[in-house]
Amino acid sequence: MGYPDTRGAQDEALIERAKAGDGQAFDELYAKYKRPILNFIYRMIGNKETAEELTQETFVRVYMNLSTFSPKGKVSSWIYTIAGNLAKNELRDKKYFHDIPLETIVVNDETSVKLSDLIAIHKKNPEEIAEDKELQESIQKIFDTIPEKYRQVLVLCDVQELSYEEVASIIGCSVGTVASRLSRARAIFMKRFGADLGGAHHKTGNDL
Amino acid sequence: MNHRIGLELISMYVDGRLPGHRHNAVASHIEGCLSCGNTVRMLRGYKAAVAVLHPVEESVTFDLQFRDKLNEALVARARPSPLAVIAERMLEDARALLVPRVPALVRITALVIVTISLGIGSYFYTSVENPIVVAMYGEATVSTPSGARALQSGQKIGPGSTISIQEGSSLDIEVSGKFAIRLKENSSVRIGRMIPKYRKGEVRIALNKGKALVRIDEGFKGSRFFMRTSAAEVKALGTKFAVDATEKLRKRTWVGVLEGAVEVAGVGRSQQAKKIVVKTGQMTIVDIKEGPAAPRRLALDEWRELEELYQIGKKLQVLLLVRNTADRAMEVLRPAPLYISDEEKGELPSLVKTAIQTINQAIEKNDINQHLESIRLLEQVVKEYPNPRYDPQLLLFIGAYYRFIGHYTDSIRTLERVVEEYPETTFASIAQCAIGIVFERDLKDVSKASEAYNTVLRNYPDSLEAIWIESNIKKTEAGRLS
Repeated sequence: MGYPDTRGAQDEALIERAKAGDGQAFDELYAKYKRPILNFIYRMIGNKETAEELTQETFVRVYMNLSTFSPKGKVSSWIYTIAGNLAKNELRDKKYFHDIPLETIVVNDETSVKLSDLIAIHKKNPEEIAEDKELQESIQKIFDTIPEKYRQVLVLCDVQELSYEEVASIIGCSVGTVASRLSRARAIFMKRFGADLGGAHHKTGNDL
Repeated sequence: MNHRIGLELISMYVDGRLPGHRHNAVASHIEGCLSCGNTVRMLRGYKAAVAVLHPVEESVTFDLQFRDKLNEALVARARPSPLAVIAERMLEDARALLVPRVPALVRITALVIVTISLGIGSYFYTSVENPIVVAMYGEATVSTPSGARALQSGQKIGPGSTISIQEGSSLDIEVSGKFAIRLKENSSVRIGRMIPKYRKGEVRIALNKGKALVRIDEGFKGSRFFMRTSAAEVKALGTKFAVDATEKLRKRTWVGVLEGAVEVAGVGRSQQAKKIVVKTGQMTIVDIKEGPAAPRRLALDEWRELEELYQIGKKLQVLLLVRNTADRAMEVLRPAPLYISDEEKGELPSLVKTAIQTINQAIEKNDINQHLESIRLLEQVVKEYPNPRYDPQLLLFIGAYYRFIGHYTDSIRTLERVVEEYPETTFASIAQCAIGIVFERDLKDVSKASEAYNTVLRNYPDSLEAIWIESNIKKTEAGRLS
């Protein structure tokens, strides 16, 4: 997925120009981030129509709060933070998310078969994976069941392919917390798929 | 084998986030541990799968909706909130109340009265007049944040709602006396801003897709009406117009004007400066990238489509649809089936209904006896239900009808009635010109035709018919010279 370069210097220049009333600059920023933000929110809430509304609301808020943007932070992080907060509010308000205990293993014959696909997937051609519609749908369904704080890290790190540092900045925590939540999120994901990453012989410690 | 290796460590290892020595240590552990190796394979498989998840693409109207929302937010920010206005007024009133030393009971009573008044005032200040469904042909749904439901005649539609019209259906919505809109099949519109009940304001409607015909009424004066599509923003300047954003146009929007004028702009920021005014009888196409093209005259079939504007709402539709083009007298002489909306049938005299049914059957079957019966019924309508508003139009229709079936003398006789009985109406010049056309083209009587045309030039020199006749004279002279 071709997400934008988030190194930031260009974005900050766009923000400064937009603050000074340059509409073209805001348009550029909007064009650059609208799709990544739409996808981020979509993966968070699993509903395209609502994701579109929240993405539009994100950019309305960005525009209305241009003057409050601090040059200390990254523009992309700021936009993702706004989007993330809107998505979280939506999930809480609309009860999209029904927490499923971690112990619950969502597995049946069908998903067991898909699990074997998943394990073998890294050997597959990316186009082949992308064409597997059923697998793609299964992945989104599992996203929808993962607790929000883990889902957010999972989507930002693994779908949006942002760095740990940037994700830490977006959700307002340390890089260590991101790493920890990400491994937990992946374990939940795999468990929902019927695979136990944190198997009996694996301890939570990192001794080696 | 040392299995004291955490999932977090493996997860970071897969992401390449471990420093060199730890990375190497984990790598060598994995080589000898089937379980950890399996975990790494699964994680890599998982990463590969989610990395190629299909990106979701925004819908065609996404940008349009965003700009609407942004505009609404900017307007809302520019205007003090009703609560702030009320609070300020209350503060002022409270100050005034505190100045004179009056008994507490009087002060409290006064404050209560002021508060109630302000409450009522704020209701009138903020309450919005929502459009009502006045006619439905087929099926339509309305979507609000609380869900989607089928629309019904008489239902109110609030701002923020999205109306979707099903295939083969159409829907008329209206704010009585202010504006009316017909939404055609497969259209979707989002009702944005509506004007307050007791003040002037701004109406904003987004035509997400499909086609809308708009009629602005007298009561809308002082307010502004905007309709946006993915390519264009159309601002009414007191008018009847149509906006077409159907998929066949491929990200372009067609705007045609039947009466009045509209201001048309592209929606891209770079195009907003490029605004054009489209006047009566003109149209333009707005390209999503290039903005609006220069206006050009409506083609005949475009006129015909626009004339549907006269059918919106509950207006009595027993009338001739007169075009505002110079050659309208020619058009008058081509009769079309009369239209009457379903909503009106109950209110019409049975004779009118019978006449309309007979005309439509006669045209469908092309039966001369039925045509004559239709004409007889129409003449009876004029006689039994005299109405200065509709009679000249009905007489024009009857005159055209006689010509259509080849009864030219009766045609001229009927058209002369329009000239004689309704000399002050716009129909007089049309009828006089039509007389000339019948003489010239049907009866081949050049002398009588010339006399009729000269009457137009003499009695109605500023009419569209005079322009048409002068233009034809010039063409004829040019033909002779060449």
